Amino acid sequence: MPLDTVYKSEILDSLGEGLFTVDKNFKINFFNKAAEKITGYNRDDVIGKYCKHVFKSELCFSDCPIALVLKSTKNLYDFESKIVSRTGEKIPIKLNSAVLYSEAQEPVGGVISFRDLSELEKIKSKITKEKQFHGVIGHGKKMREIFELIREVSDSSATILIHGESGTGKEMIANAIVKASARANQSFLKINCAVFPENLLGSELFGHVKGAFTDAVKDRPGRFELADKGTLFLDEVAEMPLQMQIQLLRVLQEGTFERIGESKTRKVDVRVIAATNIDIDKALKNGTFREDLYYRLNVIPIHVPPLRERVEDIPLLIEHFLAKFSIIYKKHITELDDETMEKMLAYYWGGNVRELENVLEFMFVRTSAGQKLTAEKLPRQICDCKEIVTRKAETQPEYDVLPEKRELIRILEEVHWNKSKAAELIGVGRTTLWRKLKKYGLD
Amino acid sequence: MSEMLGNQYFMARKYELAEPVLESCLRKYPDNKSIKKKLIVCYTQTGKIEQALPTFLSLIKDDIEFIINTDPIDDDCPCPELIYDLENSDNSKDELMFEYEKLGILWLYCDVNKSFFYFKKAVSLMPDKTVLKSIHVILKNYIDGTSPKKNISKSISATQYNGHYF
Repeated sequence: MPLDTVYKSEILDSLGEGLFTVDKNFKINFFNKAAEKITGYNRDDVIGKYCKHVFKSELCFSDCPIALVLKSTKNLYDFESKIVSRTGEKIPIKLNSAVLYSEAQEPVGGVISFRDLSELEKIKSKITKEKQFHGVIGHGKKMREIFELIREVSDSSATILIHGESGTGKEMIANAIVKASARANQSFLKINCAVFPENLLGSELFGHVKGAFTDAVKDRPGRFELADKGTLFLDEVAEMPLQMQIQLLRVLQEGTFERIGESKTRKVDVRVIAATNIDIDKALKNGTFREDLYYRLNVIPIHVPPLRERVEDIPLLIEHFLAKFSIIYKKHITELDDETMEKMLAYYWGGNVRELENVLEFMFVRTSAGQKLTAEKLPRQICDCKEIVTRKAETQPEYDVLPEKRELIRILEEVHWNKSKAAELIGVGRTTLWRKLKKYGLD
Repeated sequence: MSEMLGNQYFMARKYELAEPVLESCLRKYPDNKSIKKKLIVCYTQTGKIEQALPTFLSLIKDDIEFIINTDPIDDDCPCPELIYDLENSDNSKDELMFEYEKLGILWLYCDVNKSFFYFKKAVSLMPDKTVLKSIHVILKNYIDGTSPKKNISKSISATQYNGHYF
């Protein structure tokens, strides 16, 4: 008798993958040790039972993996599904399936081998969590520090001043602060202080009563009243007229104000998040931004770094925007070629994340579905290598380490240098990963 | 088309898909009782009662206990839930009259006396229908003990069905 027949059970029990077989009625007739470990069932509990009663997979009634093989006569590989363990826990798995045939070529059973993806899913979820915070994309040190700060102050109602260049995502940060805060379920209003003339801004913020001014035909509450118990985001706060800055200071200090044209004092409980992109020192020096208001606003300062100072986040942002545009434009483009990526990593990004988003949209609409974004689709300013090199030399002397290498090291550390897991996370084969490691001297 | 694929469709309660597969297998293996047993249920669920009855008659003539000894769990039999749905549907008593044959068939997988009860009603409604009369006679003989009885302890009353097993 051949060795594999004699030691069939021992051989199958030595596998790391869960494996079971069913007869033609889909009753389990073999269940290896790894399958016991993954599912929590003992072999004796499941032998003779219908597989659907044991695994309770969502696929049993829709796309049974063995039925798929029976229909197509092609074996299945790396088919993703979920099974329910003995304790009721849903376990994500990847499975292979095949049909067993009799000598007369009649299907007489099926075999399924499966891998537990729980650990991998946990790592992926952890990485995803670390890659974004309430919609703000970023996993570099600077962004992680901001996320940590937001977490720390989530229970507080202290005023926050977000400072950063135009296009860095200050409003996104404000959204994240609100989502993480105890006021998440309360009203959240936003106002851009730079777009209103002084008289209108006062009315917008504090409201007015009928007859307070020519167009005041009826009483109207302001944003502070409407945001009571919630949060008010004051964008471009330093652009606010000085007179209005005094009134704002009073609300921040006392929580009180009057509607325009009314003497009744109203009290509200509003958390203020303010943002500005101006040079604060210069504005304080010039007297266009009141020092007392600045200190009142700046209880919790958050500086959002320009994109050129968080280059490591660029691939992540690209991935995010491509996914977004794939939905908007109903075409699937997920990648850009290496040359384009290099140019994007090296570019100055004066308009920050907003500029990156616009550039990607420009390239996206010019690229056919399923294709990679290529350098010839880049706007001219990014193709201008001379500018890139000059700016890079001026502002980015620390970029001696390639972002890809840094990203590789980070992922490898996440998975404790398990190269199979790292390759799976990155979405490349082991050989490609090996080539990359060799290229960066990490092998 | 393999019996195994038919079994999977049946197990997933996809009767319309299971039916042609099992029919094709039955043509290949006309004496296969297991295929017949599932195909009868499929016919009742796809509105082909006129095809269900002769297949049912042929199987009970051959081996009535092959149906009677059905175990709802071991055999993954859907009949208790199908009967439950049928008897608890919004059908009026008059409408239920048209389901007597279907109920008679399905009940045999659970309770021979209930099956006989419904076939008796069906025969009284359609006394000239030969296939019904033949089924009625076979069931009567079985209950009266004039045909051999084996173990029917695994039978389950569909009224006891609570959906738990399926």
